Amino acid sequence: MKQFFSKNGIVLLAAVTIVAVIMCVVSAVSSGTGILHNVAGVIASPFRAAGAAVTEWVGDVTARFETVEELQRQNQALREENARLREENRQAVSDSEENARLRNLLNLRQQRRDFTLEAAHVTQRNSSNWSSTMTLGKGTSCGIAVGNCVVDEYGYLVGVITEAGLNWSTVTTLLDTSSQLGALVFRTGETTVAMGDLSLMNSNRLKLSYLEDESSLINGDLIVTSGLGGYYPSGLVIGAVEEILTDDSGLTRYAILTPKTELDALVEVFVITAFDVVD
Amino acid sequence: MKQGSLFYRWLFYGLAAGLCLLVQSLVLNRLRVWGIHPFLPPVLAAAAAAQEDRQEALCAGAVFGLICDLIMSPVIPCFYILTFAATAFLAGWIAKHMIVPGFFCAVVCSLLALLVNGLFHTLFLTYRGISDLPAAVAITGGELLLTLPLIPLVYLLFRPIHRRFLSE
Repeated sequence: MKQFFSKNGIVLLAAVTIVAVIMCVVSAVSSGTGILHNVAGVIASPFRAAGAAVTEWVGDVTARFETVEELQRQNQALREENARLREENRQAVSDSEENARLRNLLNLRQQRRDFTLEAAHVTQRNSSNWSSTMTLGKGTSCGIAVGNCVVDEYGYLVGVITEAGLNWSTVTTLLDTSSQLGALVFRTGETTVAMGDLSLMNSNRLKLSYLEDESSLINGDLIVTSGLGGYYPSGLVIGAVEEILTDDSGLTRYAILTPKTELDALVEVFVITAFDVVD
Repeated sequence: MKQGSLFYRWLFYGLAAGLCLLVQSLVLNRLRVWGIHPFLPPVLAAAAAAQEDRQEALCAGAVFGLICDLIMSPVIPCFYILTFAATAFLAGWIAKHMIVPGFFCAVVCSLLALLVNGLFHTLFLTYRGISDLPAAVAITGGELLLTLPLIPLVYLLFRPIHRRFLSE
């Protein structure tokens, strides 16, 4: 065999070259596929298909692993983004609420330029059924003192500071039995006294006492602080008349008030640390 | 009894009471029926006093009262010291002379503690010139009714502490 190739190798190479050249020429001049080319293609086709299938399978497997890893990375990134967005959303809601409170406060500041206000968060509500107080997170270090009035962002009266520490203070609300405020019927200018009542306290209402005999008070009348004596500012909204009643003796009348402020929903309040006394 | 045992026993009672005060602040204050919510602190003082030594319970009641005076705004300073010391004294006396210490004794002492709390409040409000007996009775009754279902839970919380240190 070795001798055959050494003797006839040149001839064979020449023959193969000639065949190749002929096939090239035939292929170039003919418009269709050559017979040899066609035969070679038919023979190679299953092998090509098998090779393509294997390549595709390997490609699929590789791609799948890559996809899983990519998905895991994306999932992790999305989780982080979701957590960040949730946190931002929480912050945005909180900021939005604070913004609304401050906008309302701005209106109050514009209406009552004589007020010096100190914002404070409600840190604790009293657990007792016998009193109505709340603790604020600011005290004398911020200028808060006993006797200061506390309002919400709308300027509705919440109560009065009855204890003040360095960084805390206690507000006794309008509803507490120890609360007594000089009040004025906004519509008629009649002066009365708004006071907390034990039987009304737990239903979030208070009493308007010492009504004049000829009082023309009607349901829905707005009651504000009178400011008489200069101890509290005038014009702070206490509440609205809900009901007018006669006491057990039948001699005097009193009214039941619903406070305008929502005591159970308060988060932040504003302490009036200074105001102009109006004579 | 060993000093260490005494310390740890009351430390556990303190932690249990702290847990109850947290529940009071976060949950019970919002459970309002007719504007009244359950009030656990007197029950805590009474339930511990009903199963422990009278003198220890009296001191613990006073200390617990001091803590309540600091974290809640009482009608007068030291109100809860007085109330809970009286409650602990009564509960200890009942457990020693009237009812065998146990669940029933704890329930009776707790209800009595709520009554004492209501009575003291009424007395101090009357002293301040706010006399409204029907309202006071309504609040005391409401507190009793709403707190009654919680007394077994407090008993179940305190009982293991008493049993754990009983043998020492």
